[in-house]
Amino acid sequence: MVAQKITIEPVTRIEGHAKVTINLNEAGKVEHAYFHVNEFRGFEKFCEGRMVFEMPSITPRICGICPVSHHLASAKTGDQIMGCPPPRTASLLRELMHMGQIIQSHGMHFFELAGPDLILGFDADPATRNVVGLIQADAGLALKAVALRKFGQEIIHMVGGRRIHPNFAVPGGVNKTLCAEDRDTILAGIDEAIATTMVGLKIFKDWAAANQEDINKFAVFSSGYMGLVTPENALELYQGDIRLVGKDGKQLEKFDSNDYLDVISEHVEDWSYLKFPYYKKMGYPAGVYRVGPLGRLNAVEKLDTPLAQKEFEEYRAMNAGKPIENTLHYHYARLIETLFAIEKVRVLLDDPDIMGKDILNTHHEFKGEGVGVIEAPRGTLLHHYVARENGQIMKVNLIVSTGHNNWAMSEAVDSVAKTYITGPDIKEGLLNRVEAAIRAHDPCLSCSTHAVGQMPMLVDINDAEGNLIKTLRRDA
Amino acid sequence: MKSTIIIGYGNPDREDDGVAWHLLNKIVAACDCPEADLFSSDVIPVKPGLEIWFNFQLLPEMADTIADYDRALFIDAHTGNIEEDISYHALEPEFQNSPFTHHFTASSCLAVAQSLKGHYPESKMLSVRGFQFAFSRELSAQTANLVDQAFALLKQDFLE
Repeated sequence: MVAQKITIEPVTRIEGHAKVTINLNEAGKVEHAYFHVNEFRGFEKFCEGRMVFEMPSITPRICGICPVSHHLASAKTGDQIMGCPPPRTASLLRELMHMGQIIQSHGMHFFELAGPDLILGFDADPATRNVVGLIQADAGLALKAVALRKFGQEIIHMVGGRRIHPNFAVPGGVNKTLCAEDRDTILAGIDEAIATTMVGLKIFKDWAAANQEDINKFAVFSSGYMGLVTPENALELYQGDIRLVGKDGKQLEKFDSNDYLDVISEHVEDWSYLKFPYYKKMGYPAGVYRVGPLGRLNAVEKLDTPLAQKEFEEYRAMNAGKPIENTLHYHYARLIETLFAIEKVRVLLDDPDIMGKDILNTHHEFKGEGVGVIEAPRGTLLHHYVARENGQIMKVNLIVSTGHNNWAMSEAVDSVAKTYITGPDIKEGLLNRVEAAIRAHDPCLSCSTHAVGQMPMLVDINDAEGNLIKTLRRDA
Repeated sequence: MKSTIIIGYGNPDREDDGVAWHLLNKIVAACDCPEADLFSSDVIPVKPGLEIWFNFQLLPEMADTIADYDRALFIDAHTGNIEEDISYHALEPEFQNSPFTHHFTASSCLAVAQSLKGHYPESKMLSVRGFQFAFSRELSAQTANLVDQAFALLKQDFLE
C-alpha cells in the first residue's frame, strides 16, 4: 500500500493553533507523528516601549488561563530590574497567591480534564468520557472537585483582591496585605482540600494498578528533567535555583535563572513555529528535557511537606528512585504537587510575617535587566526583560512552560501513534489516546502561542500523493 | 419574575476575542450600573431579575451557578467557523470534548448543569464574528460594526 499521511488538525480560531500530523509508511505503520504549533508571536514586540511597572498588569493578558503565573513572574523580573527586592511579607503573600494558582489549575486538570479518561476509560464513548460522565458516575466526587478548584481560586481572590487582572504584585512587593478574616477562611478550607486530593490520589493509584500495561507502553521515553529547587534540592514552586537532571536523575546543572541563556538554547524545526528548548551542552535533541509535574518531581530529591513527601517516596519507589518516564504519571505527579501546595498554604499562613504591613520596598537601585522565574502549573516560566534607565522596556523574552515541553508533547504523540496505530483503519480510541498524550502535559497553547483557541481535532487520512482518503473529526 | 443570567467570555485584551466584554459593558450602561466591575468575575445584578457574569473562559464549575437560572444568554466571539457574522440561536445541552485543555463550550456548560442539578436554563448563544486577535482592548472596525446589531438582538429578548 502507499504511504499515507494522517493529519489531526483543529479548526483554527485565530492564527495560533495546533495540529497533529501522522505519516504512515507503505506498510501502513506510523513513520512519524508530529505535534505542530502554529504560533502567533507578537507579545514580546507588543511589550517593547512599555514601562517595567506596567508589565505585571500587561503580561497576564497573554492568556486568560494562567494570568497569575505571568503576573508573579513579571513582578519578580521587575524586582531585579529596579533593584528592589521585596520585603519578606510581600514574598510570602506572592507565594500564597501562587499556591492558590497551583491548587486550582492542578485540581481542575485532574478531576475535570484528565480524570474522565482514567475513571471512565480511554475507550469509553466520547459522549460520556468527560466531566458529565464523571458526574453521572460519581456526583459526589464532581462536587468535591468543584470545591477544590474554588478553594484555589478563592485564595487568589482573597490575596489579590480580584480573580481577573489582580493588581497585586508590583516591582518591589505587593500592594495589599492579608486580613485575619481571610487568613482564617483559607485555613478552614485546608483539611477538606487535602481530603479531596487524597481521593484523587486513590483514584489514580487504583486506576494505575488496573492499567499497568497501558502505563508502561503509553508514551514512555527518556529525557532530562527541570524545575526549581531549594538549596537542599527539595521541590520549590515559587523561588529557587533551576535544577536540570539527566535521564538517569543525576544533576547536570543547577543555576540561577539569570544564567538561563548560558544553559538553555532553542532549536527550530521547519514543521512547527513553537521552538524546542534544550540543554546547550548536550545539543539537540540529546539535551531535551521535560518540565511540569513529572519533570519537577524527577528533578528534586524530596518535598518539604509531610503528606506530599510520603506520597513522593511511594511515587519514586515505582522506579527504584530513578526518574519516572511514563507520560501518564504526569497525572500522579500533578496530584502530589496539589497536596504539596495545599500543605504549603498552611505553612505560609502559620508564618506570622505573612500578616505584616511592610509590603513594598520603594528603594530602587536600577540594574537594567532581570529574569523572573516561577514554576507555573505547567512548568518553568521565565520572563526576561531589558529596560532603559527610565524604566522603559527595550526587549522581552518569554520562555513559557508549554514551550519547554514542546519536544515532549511531540514525542508523546509519536510514541502513542506508533504504539496504537497498526493500519489505516483508525479507531475512535486512537483519537482519545492522542488527546490523552497531549492532555497529560496540560499544555496552555494560549501562552506558548500567545493566542486563545477553540481546538477541536480533525484527522485527515491522505495517501502518499496527498489525496484525502478519510476524515475523522472531534469537534469542540 | 424569571431569573436570567447573561454570561460573556473571552479575553478583552485580545481585540475581537473580547467582544463579549464590550457587549456586557453596553448592558451595564443600558441598565445604568456604573459601579459594575466585570473583572471581579462575580455575578453582578444589573436590574431586577437580570444578572451578568464575565470571565475569560467558560469553566465547568460555572455550571453549578448557571443551573439555578431560568434563562441564560451566552456571548462569545467566533472566527468564521460559523457562516453568519452574528449567530443567535437556541442552545441545548451537549457535552463536547476538546483535545486540548481549557476549552469548554456553552452547550457543555448546560450539559454539566443538567447532570449536576437536573436542571438547565432555557438558553441562547450570541456569537459575533471576530477578525483580529492581536494585543489590544479595542475591537477591529469590522467587529465594532457588528456590536450594535448584536446588542439590538439581546436587548429585545433580555433587556426589555
